[in-house]
Amino acid sequence: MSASDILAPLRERGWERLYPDERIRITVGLGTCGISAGAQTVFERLSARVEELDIDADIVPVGCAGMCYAEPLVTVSIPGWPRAVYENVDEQTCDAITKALARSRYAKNNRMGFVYRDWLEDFGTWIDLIEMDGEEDEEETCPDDIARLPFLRSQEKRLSASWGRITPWSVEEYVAEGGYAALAKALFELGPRDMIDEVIASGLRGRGGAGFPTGDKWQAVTLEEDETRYVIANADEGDPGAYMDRGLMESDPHRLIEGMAIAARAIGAHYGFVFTRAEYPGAIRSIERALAEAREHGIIGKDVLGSGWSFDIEVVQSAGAYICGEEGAMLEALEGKRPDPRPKPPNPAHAGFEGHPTGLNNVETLAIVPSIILHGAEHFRSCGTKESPGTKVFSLAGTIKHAGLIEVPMGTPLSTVVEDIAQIAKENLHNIVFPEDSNFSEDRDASDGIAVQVGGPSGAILPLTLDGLTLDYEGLVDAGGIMGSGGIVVLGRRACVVDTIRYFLEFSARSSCGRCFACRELLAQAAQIVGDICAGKGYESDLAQLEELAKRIPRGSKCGLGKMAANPLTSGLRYFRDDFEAHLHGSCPHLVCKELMHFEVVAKACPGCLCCLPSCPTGAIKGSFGKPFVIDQEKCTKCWMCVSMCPYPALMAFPEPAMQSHGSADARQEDTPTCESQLPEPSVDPCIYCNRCIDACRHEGADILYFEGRGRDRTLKKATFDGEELCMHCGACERVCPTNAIEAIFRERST
Amino acid sequence: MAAIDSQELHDFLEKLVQDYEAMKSPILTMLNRIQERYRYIPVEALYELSQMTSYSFGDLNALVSSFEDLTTEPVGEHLILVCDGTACHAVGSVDVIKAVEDELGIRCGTTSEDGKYTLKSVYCVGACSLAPIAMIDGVSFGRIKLTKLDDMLASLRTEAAS
Ligand SMILES: Cc1cc2nc3c(=O)[nH]c(=O)nc-3n(C[C@H](O)[C@H](O)[C@H](O)COP(=O)(O)O)c2cc1C
Ligand code: SF4
Ligand code: SF4
Ligand code: SF4
Ligand code: FES
Repeated sequence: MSASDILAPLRERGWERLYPDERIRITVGLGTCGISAGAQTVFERLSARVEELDIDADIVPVGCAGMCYAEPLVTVSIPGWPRAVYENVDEQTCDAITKALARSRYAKNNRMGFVYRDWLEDFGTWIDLIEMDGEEDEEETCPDDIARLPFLRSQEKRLSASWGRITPWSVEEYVAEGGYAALAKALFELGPRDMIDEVIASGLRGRGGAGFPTGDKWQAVTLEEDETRYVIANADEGDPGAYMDRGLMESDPHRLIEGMAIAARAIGAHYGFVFTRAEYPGAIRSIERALAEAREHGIIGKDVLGSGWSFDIEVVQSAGAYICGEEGAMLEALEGKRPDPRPKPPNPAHAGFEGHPTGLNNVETLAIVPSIILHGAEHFRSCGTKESPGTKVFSLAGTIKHAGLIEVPMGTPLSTVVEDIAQIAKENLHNIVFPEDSNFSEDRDASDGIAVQVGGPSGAILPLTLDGLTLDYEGLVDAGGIMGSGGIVVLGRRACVVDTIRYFLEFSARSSCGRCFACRELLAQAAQIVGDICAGKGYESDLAQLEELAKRIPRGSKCGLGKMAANPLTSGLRYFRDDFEAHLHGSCPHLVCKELMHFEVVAKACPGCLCCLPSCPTGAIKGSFGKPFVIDQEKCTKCWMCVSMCPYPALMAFPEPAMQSHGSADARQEDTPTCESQLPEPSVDPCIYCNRCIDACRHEGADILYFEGRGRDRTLKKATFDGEELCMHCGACERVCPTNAIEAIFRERST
Repeated sequence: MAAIDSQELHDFLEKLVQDYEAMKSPILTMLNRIQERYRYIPVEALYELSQMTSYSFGDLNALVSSFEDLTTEPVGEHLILVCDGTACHAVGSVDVIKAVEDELGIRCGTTSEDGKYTLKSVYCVGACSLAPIAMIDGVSFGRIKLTKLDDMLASLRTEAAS
């Protein structure tokens, strides 16, 4: 069988499914976002109604179209007509849609607009459609064109063009969209050298964070003598607040499979892994099913597209450990060892999985490859910047109207993304009193947002007003962060920058493997100090100390986690010093830090309606019907329950009044012995985590020593079974330990 | 916790090892399957696995202790995960966690005494657009309102009552 024998019939069948001649096609977005918004019910309701009304329609599950804010999202195409898109569909809308369809019409309820792409004779692309929108006179012909929505207008959907349109795991629909043509080209027309040259020429940089040139990485693998090689897709999207890799795997898994196959062909691998998170069950299902279909049709397996070349993929599900996103730690986990970052060099390209050369790339990086192979490097470079060519998918979340996945050219100004695409949402602030002090609100009156966080725990927190910031690798480094995976979270007026920094520092400290002193101890110290500041126990001298720590943490850390962990802190101190100062003076300007705010009933505004009373879990609200209520501050746990119940501007949240801050420079040092919040003592374990004892124990045949715990909790342990010690007391560990730590660790514990 | 039938465990593990023989990196998958089957990872299972495979007992212990989802303590029949990722945190997931704690009468990260519920916070379930979000037994609930928590937990309660 040749490639076209396999692909041609698939394409035909896929085409029939995507653009049926006689039948109506209804799609329901069943990504994680859709399901969380109730899409499963919508799917069932539509199916039931279509059957009831005897409508000739297929109801197909699709992935996420990126418009998560509008979920549940349903599209309907009647043959010969453009595709209608419905937003926030509920059961009533389902009924309206099917009722209209029974009369071959489009319902108006909740209709967002039309997608003209399917309707255009030549089946142009989204890109054509957006271009067409630029020409004024065309507008007439495309009423309600959704490409004109502000959310879509500035986007350039290349990688994500099929998301939310095709059934994710359907190999037929993927092939009809032009899928696996690049793989066929890679197998039959190009040699590995050509492919690597093309990828180098494209200037593709890794989407996993640091932006390392992908072609160079692949080339390094091919220079190794070892013929056993692997590809790994890093799908361990650990940045809490980013979800583009999930979107990709749920919505278009075949693109990742194709990209991995091409990468494998280029670097000479025959086996690949997709290492993904347990928190993404939908993505795992989608990719497993896609793999099964691809295998069934001879696209993956012993004889890829009839070329005689073999390639297969294994999906590995992690179980909740952020550090596994780091490539060395991921390789350790794959080999069944404690996920600690590996010392570098050697890089995975030289010695990766089980010591063999390994091409390890982010999911998005790999998924871009097919288009580079098919359309060439020039096409890829036709958007983006010189140093950061191409497009990038970003995930938008936070206090915005349009949360979702977007794809824009690299180098797009942050302001375009936040103001035009995401659009700051109005918050319900009617019962919140912000500090009168104009110091805090000066820059924030223009919009309701205050800050934007790009790149998660390794990224920066930036003011929304930062001029000229562009979303590309260099732009973000200049601003004090990194691209990370590309998660953008907008913080509104009800989010506190200092609390967010505390959150990230604690996150990183908890995730640290605990080997490097700076990452283990200093990061924990920084987290504790910022935590103290949030709790109203900060000192003036803390800011200077934090600055010092922020410099020392990256210096003393080996891997990316420690090197980047101070970025939120550094950028926060640089751009949001006012917020730190306000906390030091006892008040949280955004009423997040519970110690630095309180609730009060404004007597004038409270008619004593009782609404708040039952909501309080601790019985802190006192009073009787018809009279103003009061809150017992001692009992109030600041859970915000009552505030959401009060129909009047009566039950209000107030910042604590500003006051003198604690102490002068060095006050913390002087106070520390008596102060209840002490900085964590550096660990007294003399262990330097050299692993020699573990190796020695393995050599002796017992193999029971291991490290447990992350960060500061990292300790050496002896595995026991049924309360029985398996230790042979051979003393091998003690003999090899360079610091005499074994004795200290186990003697201390047994006494 | 019901005592584990060692013979059954042995058969289960033997089948597991067989099923995943062809995989090049089966260990995480096997540990996940054990956790699913027993709702925790019995130390016996690790010991037996180390005898059946080339993984060492020490390494297996290290692995299990490195992953938040793998536990050597049984989790409750119902697993309630409240997301505390960046996006959820920014819109008040801390208050959601607190409210669920109050509702269930357990602290986050623990299991109720009757073994019915485990409440945990997780870092991002990938539906940040619908923050704040929680997952009950794998079903996700988006756009949680503090005042509507009851609805979300209702399904659990009716089941517990019956
Ligand atoms: C703590 C830490 C977490 C990381 N998490 C991820 C991740 O979730 N996804 C990812 O693709 N890369 C992650 N990386 C980067 C990877 O180590 C690696 O550089 C990347 O996957 C390489 O792919 P690329 O060249 O395509 O960018 C992380 C790095 C560190 C230090
Ligand atoms: S920087 Fe932190 S996570 Fe990285 S190796 Fe060092 S201690 Fe481990
Ligand atoms: S709900 Fe508001 S108005 Fe009513 S009693 Fe409570 S504080 Fe007063
Ligand atoms: S040999 Fe000593 S220093 Fe090295 S890891 Fe073991 S206990 Fe620690
Ligand atoms: S932060 Fe909660 S789903 Fe992502």
